[in-house]
Amino acid sequence: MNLILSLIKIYRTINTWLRATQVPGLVYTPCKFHPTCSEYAELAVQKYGILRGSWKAITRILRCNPFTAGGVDYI
Amino acid sequence: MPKHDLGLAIIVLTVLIRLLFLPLSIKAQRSQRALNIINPHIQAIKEKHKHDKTAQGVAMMALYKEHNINPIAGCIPLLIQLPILIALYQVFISGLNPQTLSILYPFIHNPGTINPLFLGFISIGIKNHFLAIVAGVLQFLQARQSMNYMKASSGAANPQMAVLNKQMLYFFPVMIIVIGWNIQAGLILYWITTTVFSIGEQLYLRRTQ
Repeated sequence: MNLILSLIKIYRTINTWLRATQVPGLVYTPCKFHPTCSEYAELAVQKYGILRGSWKAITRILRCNPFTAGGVDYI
Repeated sequence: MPKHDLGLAIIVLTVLIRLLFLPLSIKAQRSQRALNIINPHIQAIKEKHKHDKTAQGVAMMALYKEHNINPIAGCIPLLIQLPILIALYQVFISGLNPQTLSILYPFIHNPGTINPLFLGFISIGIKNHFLAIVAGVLQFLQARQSMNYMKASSGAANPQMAVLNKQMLYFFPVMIIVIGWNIQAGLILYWITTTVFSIGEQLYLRRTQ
């Protein structure tokens, strides 16, 4: 559990750096959901445990596509 | 390419790919900046409705509506970009010589000679420390410019964030030099081109905001 949470933290730090400095190579499209998927994943894992929480986080990431409206979406 | 110049070919290919993603990139950066500007409001809402997720949601919804935030696309663009990037790096890393190229594009007639000398004096196939440093310096300029654009008018940023910003301003340029020190000049040339393109893109964003 702690491992997953710290992996999410590391991901977020790198992500923040890449976004702030816009390191070339990728287009950094902003989040269409609030909270962001990483925040959502943290909450999900804390609330539902590793397996169900991770699954919920994955479906959230899959929902981040052009065919959804986005917006506010809490776990 | 004139004189089968491999260096020019790398620059042209890089610019073409960046042009392809230009509309998306411009939109994404504007959208990100808009989000950054309202970030203090988001934090305030989070603080205010700490224990009431429903109220927090309602307030967030109102905020998004008020500022007309409509983030685009989601993470699908990443899935399109990654294969292109990986292919590009693969080509550079596996080395550019007529043999590997004919495997890569069997349908294209082998150009015969490839001139590995860029502009007649920079060899693409070997390491080039000078280019690595140029890439690092350009990366620093681009990062600083971009950060100023992104955090513009965000008001009182907290000191912890400022420290983080200083760190990341130097982190990637140093990393670029360290990596660039040991790779072929061709890959560095790609990086320099794409960084210069980013700087130009930023200048355009500032002018038209």
